[in-house]
Amino acid sequence: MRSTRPDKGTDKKKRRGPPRRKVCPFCADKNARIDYKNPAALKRLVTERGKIVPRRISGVCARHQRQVALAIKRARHIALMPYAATGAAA
Amino acid sequence: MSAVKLRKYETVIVTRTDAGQEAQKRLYEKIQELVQKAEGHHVRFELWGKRRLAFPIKKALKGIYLYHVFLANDTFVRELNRMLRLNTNVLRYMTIVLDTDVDPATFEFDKERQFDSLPTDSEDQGDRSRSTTGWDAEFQNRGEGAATDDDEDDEDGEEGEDGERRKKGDDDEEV
Repeated sequence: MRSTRPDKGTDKKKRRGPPRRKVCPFCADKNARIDYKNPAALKRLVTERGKIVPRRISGVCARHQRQVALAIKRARHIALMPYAATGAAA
Repeated sequence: MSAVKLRKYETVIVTRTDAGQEAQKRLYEKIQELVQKAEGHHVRFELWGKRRLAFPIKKALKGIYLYHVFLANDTFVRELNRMLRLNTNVLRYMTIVLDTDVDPATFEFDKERQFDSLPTDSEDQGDRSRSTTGWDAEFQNRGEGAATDDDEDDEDGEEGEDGERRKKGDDDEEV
């Protein structure tokens, strides 16, 4: 739903009202699977430091965020993804 | 038909890169032995190859990733995990339940059957161009998913512009 788009012009001057609602990428794309075996896909749901990106930033819905969190934790266990990355080790 | 319902498991094993061909073969045979003992089924074996670990484990920076799919019961998994824990060449292992109440009589083995060759000593870098798992072939739309992510980035950029303009607006108000 892009209902907030049309009034973008007025939105630009004074940015009041609710921020643009982000759409959960996993709800939008039914074919996208959340799988710990695919660290490349999970990478964008993690900060550079390796932290899981909160829902309010990524726009992932609650249901999928739970799955994402589980997948990332699994991927971490088998060292496909980092628990924490320092600047040098990453 | 046997009414025995099994569970479908997948196991990822990370071994040392210097374990050697012999040790790899022994590990594989041991797994086969456990499967037979538990009257389970070995459905799939994939060799993901040598990969860089996201963090060092026991000072190792790389590991050889092995991926198995089984139909078996919980005692099998207990034995398997016990064996893997005792094996010093195994850096990490993880077993996950994919499905419960699987009837081996009706399970379509052929759909998932795949047995890669065991890791050899000569294989220096592994096949890193290969995707992690055969599942990637099934869900090729993942690439498109990444493309939509780019759109999001653009939106973020717009938001930044909005912020700047708002600041200007504030200045006007003050004047």
